[in-house]
Amino acid sequence: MADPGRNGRAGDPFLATTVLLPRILSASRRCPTLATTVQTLMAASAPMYQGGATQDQVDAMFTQDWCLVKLGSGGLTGVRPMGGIGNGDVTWSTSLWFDRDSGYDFAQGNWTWHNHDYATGFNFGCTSSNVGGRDGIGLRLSASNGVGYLLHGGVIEGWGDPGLNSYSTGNYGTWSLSQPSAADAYGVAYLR
Amino acid sequence: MYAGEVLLGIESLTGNCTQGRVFPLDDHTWNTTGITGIGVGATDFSIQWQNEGSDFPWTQQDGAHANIC
Repeated sequence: MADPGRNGRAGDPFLATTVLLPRILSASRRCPTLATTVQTLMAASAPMYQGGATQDQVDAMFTQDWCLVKLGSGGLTGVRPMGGIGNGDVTWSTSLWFDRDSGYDFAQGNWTWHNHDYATGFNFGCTSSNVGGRDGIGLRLSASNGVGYLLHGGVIEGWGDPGLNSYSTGNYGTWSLSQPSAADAYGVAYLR
Repeated sequence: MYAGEVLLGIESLTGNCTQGRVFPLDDHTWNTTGITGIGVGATDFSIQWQNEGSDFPWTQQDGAHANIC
């Protein structure tokens, strides 16, 4: 099935129509006056997650307030055990979006560590106040033609459980990364 | 680490529509672990560390897929 909102891209004879259309729609659909970037989308969505919003609620916000079009399918929430230890499961939800205004696409992922009860079930030197070191988080987008995509922005924001904001090193705080490294031999970069 | 969000802005390099698929990844270290590097390859993701500490193998999960133009 064709994805919605795909008309009017480069080479399409209706390009002029879609250039004008967002301006018409913006008056009636509350499309944002802010530029739609990874930073502005993060600023809108991260507080919702931190406040307990579901993925469906965040999706609705992207659709209604930012006029983004959700692409494709399979953006489901799944669980993959880490090392077979159920206590450490992480749930990811991923989705792909298209912005009619800019013509850009966005890949989004949201992760949740199920459980902060590290002291229960296994012992790798962790206790209830010793929750571990840095994690590596990645969101890779692969292309079926092997050519890949141009990355024009990336941002990661993470946060701890506010109810446990007592770890002396501040690991439960909120942090944000948006400075990419130089691309490697595969044309991919990372934030750190 | 408890939760978080990743956002990438992308566009087609060729101008043609291509089926794309998102793979979220996660790797965990413990508080005695110092991260010394991050590896990003064509199909994988890894972190390097020093000192003691146990980590789980990096995990990869099949995510959203769509026709991206």
